[in-house]
Amino acid sequence: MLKNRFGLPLDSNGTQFWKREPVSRRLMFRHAAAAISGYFFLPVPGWQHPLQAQSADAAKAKNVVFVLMRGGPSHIDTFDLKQGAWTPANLDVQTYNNLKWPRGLMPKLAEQLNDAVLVRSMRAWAAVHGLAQQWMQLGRNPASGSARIAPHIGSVVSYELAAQQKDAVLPAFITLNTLSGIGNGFLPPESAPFFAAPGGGGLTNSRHGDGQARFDRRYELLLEMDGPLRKSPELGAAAFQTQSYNVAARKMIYNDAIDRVFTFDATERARYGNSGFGNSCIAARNMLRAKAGARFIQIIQGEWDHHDDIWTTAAGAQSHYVVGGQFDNGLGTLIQDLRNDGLLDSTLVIAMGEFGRTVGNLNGTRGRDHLLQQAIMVAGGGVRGGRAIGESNAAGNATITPGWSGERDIKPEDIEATIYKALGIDWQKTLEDPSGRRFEYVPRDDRYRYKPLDELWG
Amino acid sequence: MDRLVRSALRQPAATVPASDIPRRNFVDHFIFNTMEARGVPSAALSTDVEFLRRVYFDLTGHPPSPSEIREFLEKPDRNAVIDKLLYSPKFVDRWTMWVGDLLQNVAFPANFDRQYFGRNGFYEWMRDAMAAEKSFRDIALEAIGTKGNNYDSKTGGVNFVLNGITAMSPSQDTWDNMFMKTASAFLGLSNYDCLLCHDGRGHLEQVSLWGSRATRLEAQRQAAFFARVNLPKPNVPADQFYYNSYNVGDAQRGLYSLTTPSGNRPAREPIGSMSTVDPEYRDGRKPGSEDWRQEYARFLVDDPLFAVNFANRLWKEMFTLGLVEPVDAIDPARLDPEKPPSGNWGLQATHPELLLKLAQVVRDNNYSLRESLRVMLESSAYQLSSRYEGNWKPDYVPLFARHFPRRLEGEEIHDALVLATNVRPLYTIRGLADTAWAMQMPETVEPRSNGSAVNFMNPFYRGNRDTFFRIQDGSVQQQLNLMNDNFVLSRLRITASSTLREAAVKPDAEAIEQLFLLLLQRFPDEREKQKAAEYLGKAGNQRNAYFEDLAWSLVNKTDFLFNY
Repeated sequence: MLKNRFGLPLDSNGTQFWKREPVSRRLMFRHAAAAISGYFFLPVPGWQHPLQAQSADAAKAKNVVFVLMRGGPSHIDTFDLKQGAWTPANLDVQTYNNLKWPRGLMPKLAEQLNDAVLVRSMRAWAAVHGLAQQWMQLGRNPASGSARIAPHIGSVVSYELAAQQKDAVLPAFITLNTLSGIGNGFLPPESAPFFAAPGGGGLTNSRHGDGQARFDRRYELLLEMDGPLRKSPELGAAAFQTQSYNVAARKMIYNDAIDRVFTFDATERARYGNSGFGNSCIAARNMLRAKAGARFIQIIQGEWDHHDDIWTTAAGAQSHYVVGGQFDNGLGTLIQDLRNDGLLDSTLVIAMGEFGRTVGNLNGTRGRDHLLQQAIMVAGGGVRGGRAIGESNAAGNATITPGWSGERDIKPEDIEATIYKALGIDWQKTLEDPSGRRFEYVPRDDRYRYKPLDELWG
Repeated sequence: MDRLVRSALRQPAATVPASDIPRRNFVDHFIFNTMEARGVPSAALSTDVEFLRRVYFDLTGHPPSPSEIREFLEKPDRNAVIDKLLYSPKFVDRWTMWVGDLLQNVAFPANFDRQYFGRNGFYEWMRDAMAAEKSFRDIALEAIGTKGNNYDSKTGGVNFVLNGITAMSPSQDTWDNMFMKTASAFLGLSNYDCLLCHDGRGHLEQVSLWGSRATRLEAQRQAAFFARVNLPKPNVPADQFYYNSYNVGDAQRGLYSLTTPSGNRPAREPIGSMSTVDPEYRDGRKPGSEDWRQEYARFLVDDPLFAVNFANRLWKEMFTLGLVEPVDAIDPARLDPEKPPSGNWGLQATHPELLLKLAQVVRDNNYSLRESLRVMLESSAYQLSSRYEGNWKPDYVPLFARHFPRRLEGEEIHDALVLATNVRPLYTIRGLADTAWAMQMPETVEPRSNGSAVNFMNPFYRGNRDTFFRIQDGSVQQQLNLMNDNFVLSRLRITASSTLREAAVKPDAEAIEQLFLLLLQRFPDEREKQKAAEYLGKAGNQRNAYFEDLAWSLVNKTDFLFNY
């Protein structure tokens, strides 16, 4: 039997929380004791109950990096650049394969454009930050009837890929650069996001403040003191299950593999731009490099909400230069490193805000306000790069050429379908939720008929 | 199961025939007679110590102190302690948190900005209501029907209506959501969220018998009660208190028209010649005055479901599982045992008569939170052990044949550690008094002024009351935090903690007992005494360090994390 250096068996006495238990959740309910949830009254927990499933698509990618450019970047100054009197000279606009690009703002990404697609026919549903950010993470209307229990796209990915996670040290769904956010909805807790805000000094709380020797002594004592309760389901399944979380946590503590992912030095941080986002990109690269189990990595970036002074160079201001520079240093270096590692083709990278910003001349406070029209960047995962999909009008506030078979604006639901399909997940699948309702991975809508953006690979 | 396992929590072991459980009030008749009729054995009654810890957490969100435990054991009068806790200041904190979750008090929700002052007005209104023993009926009337400024604590209830505000949408979407949120919180009818988009037919057949027959039009008729709501912002300069507040009121006119081609719900189109929807309550009542919103509030609190919903939600708080689950999806067509539904549908509640009787008691007590809880707490059903020595079967779950443990909330864990160690933080909350207690936070993303406290609590899934909600799931991050977070470690140092310091100087046996009472609110069993003493025996000249280790091991024990 494999044992770690503390003599604990590595593969018994509970499993890592993001894996399927050897005893299924259902059997645990049935035999161990009473866990506590409303699902009791269903003969079978909803998540084990696919109502409708079709054959899965062949996977184009293994992993997804999903960058949420919080606040909504100005698309006409970035991914759908429209040059005009408003364009500062130092953006150094250059053309790559007919794509205009603000080289002065994002020089590193300029080097990656051969592997990137700029999607310019995208239009958000709402121009309210919280609502639209939720929308893109759930892939559905947050005000809809089922949104309250809807899982994050990453939780669906985690739930679907659980069977492939047998030897993982990390859960499939990671959210970086924040410590809270949308979770697993009605899906089992194993599909919840693991939150981390990497700084290079290791994973928070994966080391013991009173030292390793003290920790080892304490943990041994804990097993002594808690032994009987851990062997007994007397407090019910929820408590019984806690030991598997504890064992999983224990495995992360003083774990070389975890340390390798979350520990990096000042040189590395500088390469990625010395920002929370850049540091998260390093951790994302390390996870993928180590094949540590992370499959859907969401990274929160920026504060792009530039209503005021978008181009200021005042000290301390979070202008476009600063936020754009962080984005470029982080994502540009990540894409480059992934390519060098041979991982880019299997990693779909999507960077998008919740909406775009007003076009033309700046507003009265030298900034730009909210606008539904937006543009996003997609790279890796085998997409055919070096081009744009879709075309907006001269001003940049409406689509004139959708550029894809949907023949309409691209919506967050389409991006959701694209992600599932790219990972080989049946994007048309339906589960039964705890109330017995049909939960569609991608919401069905007679008018919009959401579907994957296959043209990325076309 | 070996003897050591059996004694892990020092409880009576064996199950007992349901006929042996004393019937202390009507709750027990329904619960234990059902078990008796099915031949299902009951868990034994909880011990005094177990009961005390449970009822302290459930009523106040805080555990009992060692002296409170010892005092109680001298004269273990359970009804007396229930009474004491129901009227304690901490009860107000814990139930203000509960009602804050229910009514979704958030300073900056996704759809609009309530601002800190609005949040504080809402919070103080709820806190005052809890302290003044305001009836839940009056709480609903004020939350739904009154007028006033949302920054004022006297009229802070108007903040609830604001939750319906739906950005970037036609007004009908906002009215729909105002109605839907009232129906969900106060009637358990969240299925109106589905019905506001489409008829139940073809959609809700697997979900709700009532819902499958209900129509979009009848849902819209209730949303129409909100068609006159008026939310102007006072025209005051930015440096004035009321800047950015809402004066929640009602216009003289206003109609719910069926003319919305876009928005968050499917297009609203005229039905034949009907292009506007008149307000009509779900039982057919129509407004008798011009003040539609207030009329709706009156109809709602007189709806029989109002008491059923309140009783069911309180039952879930006390028993971890509602008589109807999910608590916000009550099916009114499947509640009445006199008129059981036809076809494959059964009655919805696990104990239909009990639920209706509890609703009656709620009404008889004028919708009093405390008196409604008292009935549940004094029952043998609430006071059962969570251990079940016999052959537990899933079929026993809906019988409540044992007490179901619940994971402690992030706030409860935070406060339990502060209480046990007496290492007090002090958090600044914008516009409110500084506090050491997580249970006094006006919303679940506080204390914003202290990121490490937030990061300690969040993995216990407090939620944000807006885009993600409080849940009971476990997580690996909870375990990392309990083992390694500085919030825990800094409190388990004898140099910092007066309670640990006082305990550590006692002889081993007494020191160990005191530590168990502080952190687990129970006495150690023989095995635990022995193991703990053995460990301290190895301390040599590091007794304090070893005593801290022992404290750490108790914080990380499974039973620390649960109210069982």
